[in-house]
Amino acid sequence: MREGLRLYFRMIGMQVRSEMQYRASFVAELVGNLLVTGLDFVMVAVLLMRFQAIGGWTLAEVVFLYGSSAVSFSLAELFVGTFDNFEQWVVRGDFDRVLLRPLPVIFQMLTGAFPLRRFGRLAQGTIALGVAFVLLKPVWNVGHWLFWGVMLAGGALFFMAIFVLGATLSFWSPQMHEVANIFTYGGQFMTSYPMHIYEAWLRSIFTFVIPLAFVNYYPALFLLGKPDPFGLPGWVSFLAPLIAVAAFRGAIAIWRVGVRHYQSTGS
Amino acid sequence: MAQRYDALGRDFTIHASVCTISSVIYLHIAAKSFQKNLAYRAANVAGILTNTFFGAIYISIYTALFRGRGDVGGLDVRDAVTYAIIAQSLLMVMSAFGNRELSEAIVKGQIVTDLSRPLDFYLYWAAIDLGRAVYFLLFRGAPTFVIGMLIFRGRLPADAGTWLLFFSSIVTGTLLSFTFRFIANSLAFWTTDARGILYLTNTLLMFFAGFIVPINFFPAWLRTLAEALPFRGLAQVPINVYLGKMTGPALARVLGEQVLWLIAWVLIGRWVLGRMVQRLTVNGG
Amino acid sequence: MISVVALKKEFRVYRHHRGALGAVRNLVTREAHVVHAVDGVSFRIAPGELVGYLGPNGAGKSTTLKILTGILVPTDGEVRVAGRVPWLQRTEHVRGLGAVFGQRTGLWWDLPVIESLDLLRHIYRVPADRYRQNLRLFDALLDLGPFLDTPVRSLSLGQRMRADLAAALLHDPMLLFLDEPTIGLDVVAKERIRGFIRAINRERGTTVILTTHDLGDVEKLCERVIMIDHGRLVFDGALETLRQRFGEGRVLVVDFETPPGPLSLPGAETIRQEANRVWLRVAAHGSVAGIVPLLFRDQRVLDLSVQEPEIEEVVRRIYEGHLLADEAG
Repeated sequence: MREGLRLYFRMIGMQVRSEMQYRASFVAELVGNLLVTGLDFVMVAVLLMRFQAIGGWTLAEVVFLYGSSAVSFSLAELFVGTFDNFEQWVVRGDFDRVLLRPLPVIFQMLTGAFPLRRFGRLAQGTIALGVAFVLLKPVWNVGHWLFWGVMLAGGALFFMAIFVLGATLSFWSPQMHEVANIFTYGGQFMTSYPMHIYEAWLRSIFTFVIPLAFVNYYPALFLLGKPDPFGLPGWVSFLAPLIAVAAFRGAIAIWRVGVRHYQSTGS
Repeated sequence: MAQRYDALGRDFTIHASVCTISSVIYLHIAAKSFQKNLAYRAANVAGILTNTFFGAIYISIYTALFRGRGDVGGLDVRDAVTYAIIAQSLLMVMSAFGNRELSEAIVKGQIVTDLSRPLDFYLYWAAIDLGRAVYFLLFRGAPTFVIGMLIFRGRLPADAGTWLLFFSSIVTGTLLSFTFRFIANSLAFWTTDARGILYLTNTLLMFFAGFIVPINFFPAWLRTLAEALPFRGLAQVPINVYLGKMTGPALARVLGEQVLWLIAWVLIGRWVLGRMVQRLTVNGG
Repeated sequence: MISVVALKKEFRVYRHHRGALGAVRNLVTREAHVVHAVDGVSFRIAPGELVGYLGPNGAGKSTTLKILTGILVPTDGEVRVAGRVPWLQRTEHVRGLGAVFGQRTGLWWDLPVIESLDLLRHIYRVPADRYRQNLRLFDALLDLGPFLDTPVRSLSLGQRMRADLAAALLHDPMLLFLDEPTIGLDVVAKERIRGFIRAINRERGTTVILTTHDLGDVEKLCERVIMIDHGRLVFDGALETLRQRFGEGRVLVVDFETPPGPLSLPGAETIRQEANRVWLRVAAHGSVAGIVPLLFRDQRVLDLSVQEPEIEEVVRRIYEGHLLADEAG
């Protein structure tokens, strides 16, 4: 375990050093990432300043929801970034190299990239949360803070599961990878706004098929002291860690099936 | 067009005359580029799904925001819904996510070969981009638009004239997008940070085009800024033309401005290209 | 060391419908046709062998190699490498092997070579002194020194191949797979790589399997050749046997004092004549010794040489399919 952890940091270190080879580019991309992902925040701000409220939620409340979702998502992006452009690995046959090394495949995937420049999203998500706290001035006890931490971690884990599932698609059809964007980037975009504004079919998909709502919207309802407009019992707000862990384990299991279907390029 | 570029410094006058005669060649290049994109069918279907999905989210957001409201910034709820559908349909046509093909060709040194061809380098890349844009208009934009209209019941234009103006503004927008990206991509020649720069310029382009939030909803000061910039030609202008929010003299003025911007960018792009060629011929790449 | 029995690998290739509507149809119905990349191949390789695995493009060479290394799961057949099934016991399996897939590097692209080697040491858990010892040896054989601190992306092709070979052998694998190890290299670089492979095979007893299109590699390295075509085994045996069996016989080049008239010699035919030089093909099973005395019978011979069939020529003929029919019949 300790040896594994040491190797993990050693391999992440390689990735970070690789990235630092292009220092100027790195800085520009970091700033670029901050701005690009910041556009989502700007959108929330512009719209809610203009319209005051959405589905009964105020600017501050939406910014809180948005910031939580963005932070979870950016953590997922940092840790499982390799899965995000995995179709490239399949197309170029780079996955061969992973299979040739005597380390668990998942371990190598987790250390295959550490896109530091994506700290931009984490940074702007954190800023959004700062703004939300200033506006909301929440009166929370330790339990609330802990609950919020679990909500962020659960969200991150859930997004990781989606990244892994999206990557798994590439084993069958690298071109279909873009469908994964619906659930990764689309999921993040969608969970930035309260779930009840969406039409029933969209809401059902993200509540029951890909239960993102449980790691984001329901915990937020609890923290913001809002009742569930769909009348689900209050305890569903506490399902986040369970659902996140289950989703992640499920995703890994499906990924394993995919690995056996890997058809390296060429003949 | 009097200037002919040859990176290797060879006499190019003969080629130049051949080139003008057979400008058909650029149509061939555009067709090739069109065909290249045709190969990614599954990816395109996935793309249509993605665009439709994002459209659905935008539409939900607008519908919720407009609840109990009439006009905001000159748009009502159905206008906003239509805006979302068309914005998603135009994203790829306008290369809103950027396109690094040219800067990558520069970084890899491919442009030395490209420059030594008996072709006008600027038109060569313009043709490639045209082929790409037409492809995305037909196979990505049109399906996304039709599906969006059927599901979410957007508005249809008032008359055939509006359709015509809508298409001309799309053409202008595509050209604006290309001429701007040509300049931004060319910077890869002087800096190793092309990716970062493109990231930044693209962010500005997307936001000030009105792809993220309709410029109609911007706060007054930001709206003034957005309207002073040319990027709105990529989304805001075509969509407002479609919705009939931009007509008569106002439209003429906007389109006039866009054409001026276009000329400026072509000139700047060609100037940058000239510098690039100069550098290559002097330093031998 | 390696045993392969009736190995099969099929790929499904999907036919795509054309046009926009076709793209939608592709999602629903996909017409697959099956490509038999490897179609019932069997062989055994003993420890310490150096085997050339040959075949024309698309014959199934890389597919076989990828199955043996555990990258691909075969459709059917049995594979044991050192008693293990590669794709089922992947991590244990790959710990004992080294592999270099020609055009792709296994090193970290943007970092100095030494950093990659150092990380691989940790991945394979190579003891520090053994690592130093190996590094010194590889440096002596491959002259790594001058570019150990250079980022991989700035290496020449030959340097990269040398670095990759060193990386593949740091952990003392018993088995080495090489896919086109000399592709794109100049003569000097090729010689150096060949010398290294030979040294590793002889001195450490490492079993080596290499695919190549460069028959120089085969002639200089391999005693045994396995050849496949269209996924099927065409030949398995000594290089010499291949030459004898498929070569069109040896060629005798004779310089006479004066231009000779038409020669009629049993067991040899004239294939070319230029002034007083004559090329005679000796039948595949014929004997040179039997023919030479006949030459001296009527004319004075100034010079005489025997040309062995070029392996290049032999392989080209097999690839072109001239000899397969004979073999089958």
